[in-house]
Amino acid sequence: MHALRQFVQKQHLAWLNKRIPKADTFQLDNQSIFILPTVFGYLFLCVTIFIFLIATNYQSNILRLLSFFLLSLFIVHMFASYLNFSRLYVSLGMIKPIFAGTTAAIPLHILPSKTGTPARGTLWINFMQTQTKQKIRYQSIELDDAENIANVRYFTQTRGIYVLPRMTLQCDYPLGLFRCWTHLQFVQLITVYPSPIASKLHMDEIPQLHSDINSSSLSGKMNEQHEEFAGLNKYQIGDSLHSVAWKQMARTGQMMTKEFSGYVNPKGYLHLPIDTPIEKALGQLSYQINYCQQNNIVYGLFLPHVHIKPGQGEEHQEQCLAALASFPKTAQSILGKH
Amino acid sequence: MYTPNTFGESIANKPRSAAQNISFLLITLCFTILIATLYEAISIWILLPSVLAVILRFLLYLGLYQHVPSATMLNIIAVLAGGFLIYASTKMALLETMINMLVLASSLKIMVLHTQKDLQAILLSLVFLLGIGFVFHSDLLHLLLYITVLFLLFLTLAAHFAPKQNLAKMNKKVVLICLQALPIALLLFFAIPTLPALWHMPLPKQDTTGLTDTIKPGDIAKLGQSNELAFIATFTEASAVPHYHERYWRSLSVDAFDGVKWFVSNQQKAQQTIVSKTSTLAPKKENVINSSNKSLGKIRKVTYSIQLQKNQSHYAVSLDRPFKVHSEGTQQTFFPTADFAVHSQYPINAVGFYRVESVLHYPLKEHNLDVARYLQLPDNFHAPNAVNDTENLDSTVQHQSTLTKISNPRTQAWVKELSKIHTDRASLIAAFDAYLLAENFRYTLEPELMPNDVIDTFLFDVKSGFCSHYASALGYVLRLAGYPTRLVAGYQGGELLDDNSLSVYQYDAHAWVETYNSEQGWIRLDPTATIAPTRISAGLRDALTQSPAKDTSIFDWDYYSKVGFSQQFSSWLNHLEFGWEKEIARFNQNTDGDLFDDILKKLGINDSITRGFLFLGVMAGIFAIYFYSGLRQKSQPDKVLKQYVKAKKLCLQQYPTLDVQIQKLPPTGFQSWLEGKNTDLAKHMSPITQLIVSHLYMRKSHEEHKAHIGHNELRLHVQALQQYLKQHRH
Repeated sequence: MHALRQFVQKQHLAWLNKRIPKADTFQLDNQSIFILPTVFGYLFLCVTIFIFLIATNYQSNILRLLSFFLLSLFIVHMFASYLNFSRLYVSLGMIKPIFAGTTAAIPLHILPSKTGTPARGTLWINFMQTQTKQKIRYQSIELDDAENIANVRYFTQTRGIYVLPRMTLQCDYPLGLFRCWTHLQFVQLITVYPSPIASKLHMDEIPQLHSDINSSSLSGKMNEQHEEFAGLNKYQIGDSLHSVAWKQMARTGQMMTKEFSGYVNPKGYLHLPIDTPIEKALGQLSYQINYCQQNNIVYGLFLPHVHIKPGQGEEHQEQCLAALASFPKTAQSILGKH
Repeated sequence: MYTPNTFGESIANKPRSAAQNISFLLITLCFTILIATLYEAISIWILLPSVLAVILRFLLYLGLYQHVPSATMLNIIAVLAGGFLIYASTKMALLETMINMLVLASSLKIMVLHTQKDLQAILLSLVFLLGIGFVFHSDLLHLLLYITVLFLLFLTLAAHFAPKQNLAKMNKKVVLICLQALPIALLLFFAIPTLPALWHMPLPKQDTTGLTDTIKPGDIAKLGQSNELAFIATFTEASAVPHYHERYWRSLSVDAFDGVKWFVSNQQKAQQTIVSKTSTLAPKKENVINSSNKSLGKIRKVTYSIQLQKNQSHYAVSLDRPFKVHSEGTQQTFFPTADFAVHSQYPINAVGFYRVESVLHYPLKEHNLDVARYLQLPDNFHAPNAVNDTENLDSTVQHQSTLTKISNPRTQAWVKELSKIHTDRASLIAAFDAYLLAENFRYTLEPELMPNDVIDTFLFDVKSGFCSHYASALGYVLRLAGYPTRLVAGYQGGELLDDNSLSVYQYDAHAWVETYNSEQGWIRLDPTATIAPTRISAGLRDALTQSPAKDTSIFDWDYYSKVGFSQQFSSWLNHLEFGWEKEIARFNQNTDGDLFDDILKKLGINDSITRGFLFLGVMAGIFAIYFYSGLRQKSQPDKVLKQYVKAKKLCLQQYPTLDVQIQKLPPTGFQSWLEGKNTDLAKHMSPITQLIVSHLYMRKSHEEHKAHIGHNELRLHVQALQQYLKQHRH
């Protein structure tokens, strides 16, 4: 049963890939729009048929006219729904990288329609998640609102640099008799860093060959317990927020950083330990990178396929984390191929 | 740069609507209107919770009350009302049970209205209720009311599915959809043939309106207070509208009298179901013109169509004497009866249409008349000088008289005296009339109650009454004197609707007497004419100046005409109603006067296949028009957008090696990317981005106004950007 379902899903996705190829912007059209009556629509049709039966049995022309009117309204609604939905013109904004296990806000831009008339109604957005069995939760955006960017929540546990799953958009406008929907595959990639797993800082002074990594050891090990407060310095951009003297700041309004004696700013390379499973190791590295960034530690990253020289700053951090995310490939190779 | 959007709840559980939701209020309003129009069919035990629900919903909307009834409370109501419904359903017609069920279900749902599903469920049941409403009311005013309700229901849906849209826009959208649906509906209506009834539907047990088969003196007076339309008669061009005194619309003849009421005996009933044998034997034209009924007037042939309001009885109307009856429309079959009336095969539960050829003043002669039947008396009284030519009258009379008590003794004595002096029928009638005039009898719509010996009381004590009193009295007197007599119930009069049409209302209901004469057949006698000549020559309204009709409702425009204002308006409405009934309510493909059919025939399209294709073609054409007018490109080349593209290009020139993703970013996305790359450049770009965003995402209404300003402003900013880039290059 499960295999069958998987097979069907696979076929469906393959069919979708053919029908709606991935793109960066979508103007919805008859290739990409699916439309079917809603449950309410079917019930509406039933009522229409019932009224027709009554009309026939009581030989009432007005009732007959009413049933035909309801029927034609149903048909006109189909066109209205379709036209409205086909006015949607969407693209994705910049997707900020996230850590696995957190929720990304995917900015979906509703662009003005090429026909000049904007789409209306409530738009329901969701990602097509084929693996997870959890109940699909839709988010809604009012197209009549002034806002034109929907931040679609995307939750994932999988690290990597990859394309988002197909995004499902659907709309019941205007009367809810029909539902238009589409499954869009955007080209934009999302970078999901490994979820940080708390660990001790492991650093090597000099990048060594793989065989040597084990022997070289914990020279730059941080020891928070042995820090001693030495005084305050004026805050400079780039200083870690961890060392800001918040109490002081609250009192004086001036931003100061605490200086610790015995605090060594270690330099070195983070690397993959051999004895840990790879995903856990990546998570630990992710944690250590964040830690270094927060504590102003200059660090490099040494992975089998990529060497990043020691450095500091957000860009450096992003580079390192991206390397972890794309492991065992390089981030560049994935982005380039794309 | 990204403004986070507030999201609603997920579809699975979306209580997107508070009690103050406008769509909830709208649907409650629709519900209120519907139950108000159907209140007659709704039993009080179902009406109670629905009124409760409406009140609750309004209180919730106003915020005066905040507690939705608990599930237990709701279940108690449901069980009680449901139990009642099951108990009562044995007595109710199917349609009534259905209405009560729908009303109960909707009112329970309205009490706890919370989710989209609730709203949709109520909406569907209301649409259904509305449909049933048309079975009960098919007049123009109810139609307009129901159209309004239907529109409101759709507006409710629209409000629900686009909650942020303003009401005017929503209105426009719903109107547009409805207008688009209308031509298709009409096309379907005219093109799809009417099917015969698939199965017999039990009818709601409605009170019969109009005449009944028993006449109790005073009964018709109740009808005299009803302003409801009874029927409309349209005369053909060739036959002039009869004079007022000729407008005696016969419905049924009543032969039995038990001292209290006149009623239709079984023999008479049998006669009424027989299709008159003479129905096809209309007198030849020459005969009609040459001969004339000496006593009554010129024999004249008239042809007219009747549009009869439903009355739940078999009785239709016709002028004496109907010969040919042609049923129009599919609803009913009408036929002339052996007692010179027109009846329908089934109770008239919808507007009925038929055409009659009558010959006015043609003798109403019956073959093998059972005279004894028309001489029956309530008790053991023997006519002194009975001029009966039948055989065993005595035994029949004795057999009939089962009452031990002598009824109306004073009248009996009076007739005994009278017939001693007036030995022939004419002088007896003259004496009766003279008595009425001498004693100053009055004609009134509000007769006093006469519980015992009604004719005695009427003739000797009260001396005022309605037409049925006079007819009863004369009928009784004539029978006492031994002349075969019967009562006829029907309508007398009618107002000119237009040159060829008469509208007759329930207050035109009338009763008169017919007495049999072997030479002339049944002769009409109308004692009311003696007392209130204007009743016959000008109608009830003139005869009764002091007592206006009472049984009026809000929807009764006739009332307003009586009150005096907007007479013009009411006559216009009458015309409209007439036209509506004629064109739509009556519409029937089988009749030859079909406009649609005529057009097709003129075009030379006769076979059904070509018609089918034509129909489909027209449908497709309509849809194509809707579709392509919707898809039509409305925008001209956008000057503002051009300026933005130019600015973006300038920025991108700074970064020649860039992947396509960045180039295709939307304005805000591009801006945030630029801020990460080059803060100075981003500073210059930022106002441009802001302008383009406000331009692109501006709602239509503002657009024209602001586009012009935006364009100039943008151009200045783009120029500044250009300058900045130039400076940096050097």
